[in-house]
Formats: sequence, C-alpha cells, structure tokens
Amino acid sequence: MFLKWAEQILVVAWFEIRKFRAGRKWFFPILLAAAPVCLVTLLLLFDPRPPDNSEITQIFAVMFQTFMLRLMVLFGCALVFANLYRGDMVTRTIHFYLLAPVRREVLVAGKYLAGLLITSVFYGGSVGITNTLIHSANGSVVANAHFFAGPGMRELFSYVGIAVLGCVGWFRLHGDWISVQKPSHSCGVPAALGIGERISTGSAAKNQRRALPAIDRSGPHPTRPFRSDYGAIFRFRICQRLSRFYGSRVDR
Amino acid sequence: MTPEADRIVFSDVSKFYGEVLGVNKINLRIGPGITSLVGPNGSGKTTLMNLLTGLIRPTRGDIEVLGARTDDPETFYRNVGYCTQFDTFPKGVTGFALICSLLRLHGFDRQGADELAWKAIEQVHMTEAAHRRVAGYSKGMRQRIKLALAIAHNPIVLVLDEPLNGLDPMARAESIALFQKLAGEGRFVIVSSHILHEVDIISDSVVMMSNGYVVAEGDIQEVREEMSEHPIGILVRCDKPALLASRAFSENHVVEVRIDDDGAGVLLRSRSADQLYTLVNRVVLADGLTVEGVIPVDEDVHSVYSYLIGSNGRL
Repeated sequence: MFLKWAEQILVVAWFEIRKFRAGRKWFFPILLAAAPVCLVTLLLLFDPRPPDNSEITQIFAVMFQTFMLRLMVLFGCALVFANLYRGDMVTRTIHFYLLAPVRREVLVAGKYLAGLLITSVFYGGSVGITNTLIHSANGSVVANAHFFAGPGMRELFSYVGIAVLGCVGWFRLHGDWISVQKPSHSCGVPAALGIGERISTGSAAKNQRRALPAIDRSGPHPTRPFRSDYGAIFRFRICQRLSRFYGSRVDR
Repeated sequence: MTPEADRIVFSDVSKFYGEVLGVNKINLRIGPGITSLVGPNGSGKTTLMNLLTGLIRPTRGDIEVLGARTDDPETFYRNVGYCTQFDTFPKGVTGFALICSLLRLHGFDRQGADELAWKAIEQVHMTEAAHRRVAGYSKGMRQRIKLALAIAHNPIVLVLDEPLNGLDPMARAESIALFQKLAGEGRFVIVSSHILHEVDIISDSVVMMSNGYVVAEGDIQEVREEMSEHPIGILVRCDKPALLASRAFSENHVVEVRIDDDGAGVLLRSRSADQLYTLVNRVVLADGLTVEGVIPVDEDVHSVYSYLIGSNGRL
C-alpha cells in the first residue's frame, strides 16, 4: 500500500515538474534565483577592491538574511507552490487528477514533492552559486583555502541547507492556504497537513536560526538568539484550526 | 454480488449550489448499455454526471457505482472514466504524455501505460497528432484526446459529457461506433447530448431531465407508450389509404386521420397503440390492403422530448 502511494507521489511529482518546465512557469521563480548571482557577478566585475574573506562572510550573511531567506525563498516558493496548487484550480485542470484512483493526500504530497524539488534546486542552487562566487573575489588560491582548508565548505552546505529548509517550511504557509481553498473532499488532507506542519515548525524556523554559520549583525534583519515562543505557536495553531474548520464546513 | 453491485444507483440524490437547484430527488438505476441524458441547458445533466463521477458531492442522498462509493477514489476510479466538458488541459504536455502520466497513476508500469495509451489513441484516430502538444490541437482533436483519456484504463463505466461536440461528421460516426462497441462489451456508457437524432440511434435507454428533475427514464418506446395523453401516431404506406382511413374513422380510439398529399399513405393517431395496430392488421386481412410500410411518427426521442419538456426546453 505504502509502496503504491510512494510510486503515485513520484508520478505526480514527475508530471508536475514536467508541466512546470513545459508550461514556462519557471520564468519568475528563476528570475528571483538568478538575482543574487547576477548581483554578485556585477560586484565582482566592477568592484576594484574586493573585501577580505571575513568581510565577504559578513556581506554574504547580510545578503542571505535580508534578500535570500526573506525575499527570494519566500516569494519564490509562493510563486512555485501557488502555481502547483492554485494553478490547477484556476485553469480547471485539477479534474484530471481528481478522476484518477489517487488519494487526495497522495496528490497533495506529490505536488509538494514537486514544489520542494523545484524550489530546492532553484534557491539552494542560487545560494550555493552565490556563496561560491562571492568567495572567489580574491582569486582561486584564497577561495580554495577558504573552501578546502577553512570553514568555507561547512558554511556553504549550511547556507544551502537552510535555504532548502526554508522551502520545506513553506509547507506550513501553503498548507493553510489550501485548507481554506477547500480543494478536496477528504478530511485526511488537513490531517496530513497537520503532520507536515508539525515537522516544519519543529525544524525550519528553529534550525534555520541555529544553523546560521555567520552572524549578521549589521543588516536590516540582524540575527537574534533563538528564543522559544510557544505562545506564538499556540496562537498560530488556533488560527489554523479555525481556518480548517471553516474549510471543512463550507459547501464542498 | 448484491443486486445493486451491477448497477449505477442514485438514491434520492439532490444537489444544491447554495440556493440554486442543481438536481433534486433523483432516483435512478442504470444498467449496462448506452444511456443518454437528454435535457435543455441548465436541466442538470452535467451536475448529474459530476455527481456520478464524484467530482461533486450530493447535498443529500447516495450514489453507488457497481457497489463502490465516490469517497473511495482508489477503488472507484478504476472502474470509471469521465470525458468532461472542461476544455482545458495542462500547458505544454502532449496528448500521449498526458494519457501516459494519468495511466501511471492507475498503477500501470511505464510499458503498460505506453501500450494502453497508444491503444486508446488509436481507437480515437489520433495517432498522427499524439506527440503534438495539446495546446495546438483543434477543438475536435481535444475532444478526441479527452475521449482517449476516458477510455484508456478500460473502465467499466464510461461517462461522456457532450462527447460529439466539435467533431466532424466522420469523427462523429466513428465515435458513435466506438460507443456502441464499448456498450456491446457490456460496459455502462452514459452520454449526454443535444443532438436528439443521434441519441435516438445510439441509446438503449434515455434519461430525460428538466429543471433538475428526471421527467422520464427507460427505453424510449416504453416511455412513449406511457404518455397516454399524447396519441400515438403511425404512417401507413399502402395502396388503399382512403379505405383504411374510412375504417379508422369508425373506431373510437382514433383521434386523427390524414391522407398523405401523394395519396399513397395515411397518418393515423390513436389513444391506444395496441388497438391501432390491431385495426391495421384487421383491415389488411379483411380488405386485402397491400402495405409498403408502417412507420411510427412520434416514437423517437425528439417527439417524447417535445411532449415532456415542450418548446420551453429548446435544445
């Protein structure tokens, strides 16, 4: 049974990625992903005095906190996931899936996997390329020393990992969205969303902050020490339950 | 197998969209063969099909398709194929890829899905355009690829919402032949159509709808016979129409007699079909009439439709 569901999830994900590519839905998400790469490339081309490695680490930390995590990942995921879920309803193509012998939970999971793969490749890739590029400002010898003899590789993987976790955590947001948009008839969907949300709230936000390899002290969103706000989680849950209750009660 | 496990059963089904009536108090038992849904726009045909295929849920009542319910998609959709009226497709995909991908969701492996997809595409004569993007298809081609999509997994129940729309005459004939072939294999083929003479040709039974209600259902001749308020009409082509007319006038059940303009036939209308046919037989035997043909003039879907739904229900 689980094997069959896993297979169906992969089929849905593969088909969604294919639709995403063929339907040219990648333009704006990839534009967001390309923005920091282009910015760093321009800096490298036109800045006559590249900063030293510790400054570069700080510049990247600001860039990551300010632009990549808060803008690129958030809006990029919004574009990709909204297209994956809402797009099928707007274009009235969701019935192709709804007429297949697939549980609605499997369908949601397949679409989520597709979105996660797309956004992880786009934004994890963008973070990785930008980090590598910016550390190449002082030449290959310094870059090699940073990545292979210094903390560079660990930082690189940490940043890419955090960006990917950002994509994972987006599940929490779009989960609420699709609950209210009532796309399916199954009560199992909100249940699956609840589990996913629990995983994401337990991991993404907390781990993102804990895992940051460099502290951004000077940017518009400086890194603060992590403090658990269980009250916020509780309030958020109440809102979420209310929205799901609404979603399950309105005309299906 | 329970008595209902080999039928499509609607039990007191109603669907309201807010305060707007979709369908109301539908009780149907549909068997194998071609069943046509007939009715004017807004009569509830598409709502009934969407209910039957689980795309929407009834406000009240139950629907069972061969014993399966719509809330168990993994069982239900293996037996059901639906050619919807929605004329939208995912962007960028080819007809073949679309069918293959959805067949993979049915659990077929890649090779099995390819074979079934190709077979379905051949059945709807779309082999040449199969690897083109659906966005580039004409209306008729999109209609045919939807049909291929509905039949690809060999469903027992095939629901077709206006499947002949946009098809040229040749494609219509081919599609009708395909429906008849599928029905001949013992499948349930449920078709909605506006084209009454085609419905008349292909249907084993008819469900007539008006304003969300089923106004008649069953074999079209049986439905017609039950409409006693509308006299049955037959045209008798014979060598002595005047004689037949005079004999008919003496019968109480005959309400209209009219001799054809060419003088070679007589139109008879009666409140009783049995008595009318007995009359014709009696005159043939007693007076030696030579009969070329006896043609029912209002035992078709169009006549029944116009009697039941009237001119307000224009198609």
